[in-house]
Amino acid sequence: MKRPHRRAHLMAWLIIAPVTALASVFFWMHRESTPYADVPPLVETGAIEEAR
Amino acid sequence: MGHQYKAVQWNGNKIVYDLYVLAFIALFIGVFMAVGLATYPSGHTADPVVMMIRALGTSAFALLTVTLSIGPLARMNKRFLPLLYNRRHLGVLTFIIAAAHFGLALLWYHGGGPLNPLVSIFVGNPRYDSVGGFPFEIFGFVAFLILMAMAVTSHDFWLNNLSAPVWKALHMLVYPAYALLVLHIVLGALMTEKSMVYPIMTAAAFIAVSGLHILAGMKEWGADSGMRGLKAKGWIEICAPDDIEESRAVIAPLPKGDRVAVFRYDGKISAVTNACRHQNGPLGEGRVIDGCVTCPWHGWQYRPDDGVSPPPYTEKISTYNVKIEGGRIFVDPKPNPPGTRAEPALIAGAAP
Repeated sequence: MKRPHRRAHLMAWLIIAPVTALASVFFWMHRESTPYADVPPLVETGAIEEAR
Repeated sequence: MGHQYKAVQWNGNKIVYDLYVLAFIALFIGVFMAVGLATYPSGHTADPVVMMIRALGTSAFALLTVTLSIGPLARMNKRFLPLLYNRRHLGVLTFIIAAAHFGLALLWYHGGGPLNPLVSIFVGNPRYDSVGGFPFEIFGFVAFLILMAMAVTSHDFWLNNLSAPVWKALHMLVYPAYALLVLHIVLGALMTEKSMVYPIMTAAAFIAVSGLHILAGMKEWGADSGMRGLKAKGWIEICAPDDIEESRAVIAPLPKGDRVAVFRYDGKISAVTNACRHQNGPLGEGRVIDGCVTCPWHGWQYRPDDGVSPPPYTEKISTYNVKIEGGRIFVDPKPNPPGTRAEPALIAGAAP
């Protein structure tokens, strides 16, 4: 009798591991304290200019 | 199934094991809260509820990391096999802690407005077009739903009704759930976290879990590759009887991807399929106990000569014909129908 899913475990992780790792690094690099982050809402809305 | 099978019922060992786990979780949450409150930046007031939400979430993630590591560790080293007996309890406990995290976060962050808290998860933060500010709660919510489905179907009642392959496929959803939780943490707590401790611990946990699964999978793949492409013709040489420890087995790959577990016991050799009827556990990594092949995962038992569970149980597995020639064990790669008696090969000079 063959054990079902024996290779499915490996294939699942060969897909999940790199995708999750790349997505995590990408998102983390875009946190608001990094140069890659979104433009802060204050700048985006022009409120920072008004404050000046 | 065997007389001693008590995978689901409570017994003394499981209660002691679960008490240890509960004590560890309580200690983890206590230390997390104490350290979190003590190291909170000066000038700011620490919020105990927010700290508790994080403590519960972190402990659930840590527990799931441990739970997911048990399987591949047991595949690579037999010393970890006993942990498999209690893995299901760890999984259910992970869900309970995750439910506490989810419930507290739902009340604290989404329970005070006019919207339904569950709707608020999806519309409370509308920055779907943002990379750094994407609503991370959604990843956690989907992962929580998967954990809930697994906890609900964790009982053997569902395993029997869904069949082992369907049940295993359903429970493999825990892999994407773990990936979703990593994204939930990265897009949530790690977005504002100044310390590098959190990112490093999260990365270490994910690398450990994914690395262990890939390593164990590669080992399984390698074990199969030896026979890939061969045709099921003639008897297959396994090893010498002395190469098998008493009451133990060697596992050999067969053509078409099957595996056979060849057991030595009481001066005899018998061969059965390597897949247990319960959850396809590796029978060849188990032992012969009370005259029965005993699965290392949950203790299901089968007689080695006919593959039938001892009365009153009725489960059957496939057997293989075996013979010893020239001091070597040979197995016929064609399996017998489940429950068919195959005459054990007698080991010359061995005491029965």
